[in-house]
Amino acid sequence: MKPNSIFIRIDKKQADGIWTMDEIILMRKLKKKDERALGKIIDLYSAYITCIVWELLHKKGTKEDIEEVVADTFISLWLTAERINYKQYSSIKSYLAMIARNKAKDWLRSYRGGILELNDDILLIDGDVERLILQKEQQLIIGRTLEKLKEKDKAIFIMYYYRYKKIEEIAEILKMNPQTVKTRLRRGREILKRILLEEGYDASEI
Amino acid sequence: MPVKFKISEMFDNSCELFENEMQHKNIESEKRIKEIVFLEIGHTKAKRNRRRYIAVLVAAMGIGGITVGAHEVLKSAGEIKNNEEVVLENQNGLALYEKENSGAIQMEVETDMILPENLYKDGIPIAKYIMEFKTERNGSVPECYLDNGTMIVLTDFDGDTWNMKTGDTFILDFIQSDSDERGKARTLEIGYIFNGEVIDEKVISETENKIILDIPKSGQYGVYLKNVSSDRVTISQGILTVERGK
Repeated sequence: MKPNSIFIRIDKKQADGIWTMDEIILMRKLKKKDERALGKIIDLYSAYITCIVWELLHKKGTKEDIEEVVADTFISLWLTAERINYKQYSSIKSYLAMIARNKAKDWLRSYRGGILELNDDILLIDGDVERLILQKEQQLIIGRTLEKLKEKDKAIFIMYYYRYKKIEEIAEILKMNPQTVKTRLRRGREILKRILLEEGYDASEI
Repeated sequence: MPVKFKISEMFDNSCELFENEMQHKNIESEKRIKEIVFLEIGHTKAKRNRRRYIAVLVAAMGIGGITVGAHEVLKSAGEIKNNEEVVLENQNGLALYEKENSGAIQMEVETDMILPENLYKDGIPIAKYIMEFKTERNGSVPECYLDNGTMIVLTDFDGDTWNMKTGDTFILDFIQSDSDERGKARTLEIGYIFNGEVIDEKVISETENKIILDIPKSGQYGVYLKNVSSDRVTISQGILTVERGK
């Protein structure tokens, strides 16, 4: 996929965060430690989770490392199934994806000789913070933010905060001036803050 | 109080928006992933069983074991076990509790077998209280009571729905132990839950009942009973049988 053509999918199901009955049944079985349910979930989502982990690890890790991290993701699901309030997440898939990203980042942090520098900015958010914890809420906010950005700004935002590319890398890929990249990132953050405000949160950068 | 939030974390939580499905599955990788997962959870199970054994042993040695006597508020539906006296005392049409919130009746739902969008019909809750009841391995339904507006959803002994095929049937036999002052049995609605939806089939008001529910489409099913009369209903000698079609 070209770096400046980003595919965004926000379907109604995700926007509403409604689980299908099949997913609910699978989670119920998983909570009761049904191994067949776990097997079914691995069948359904291992390709997708491998895709996510590969994205972060393929430059530094081997195929076996990627498989280990993917396996860790499903093991984590198994171990936490009883405790999950799954209605906070839009689907099993989105919950797994979140775990996979965190596992991959943990692997990168422990990678010998590698220092993980994650590009990030911290927002100070005031408002109904408990609500913000809902993953599906965050998906909506990010989705709306990206919808409001122009294609190039969207690409920059995603490459920086999601794919952890450096300013200089982004500038090279998009054939732009690094200062321009920074300006466009700032623009994206302004829109994100505005959307948070619309949702009832007051956000500022620190 | 303001809370710190990382933009990258919001993106992590939204990664479903960005990831395309892989175009091809790597079967070998999937097999290997399953091997690793099931090997690990096997180890975890062994560790947990050892801990459980120790906990049981400690309890058996008389350490711990606190009995607390407490009077529980009777719910709108429940199994009749040691509480028979309390249940029978309250069967004269008194609502034990009714929660109201700005004039609207609040629902209490203790099942996720019904999808949220199906909990209302024309803006009105389908029941005031919904809970699940496990049947025994032999299909026996525990003796239970339902107050007005209460629904119980029957599941198998594992708490799961039944996997039914087209042509299969549920047969529910039970007795209603209550009747009104004219000796008439109370009114119940009976049907099934399929795919998160409530499908009402029959309304009955007989003391002895044998209800047959035909399955039109293969899938996972639960069976429900709802008390649509104003007084409490007690269900006894219930058996739920699954008959497989030819």
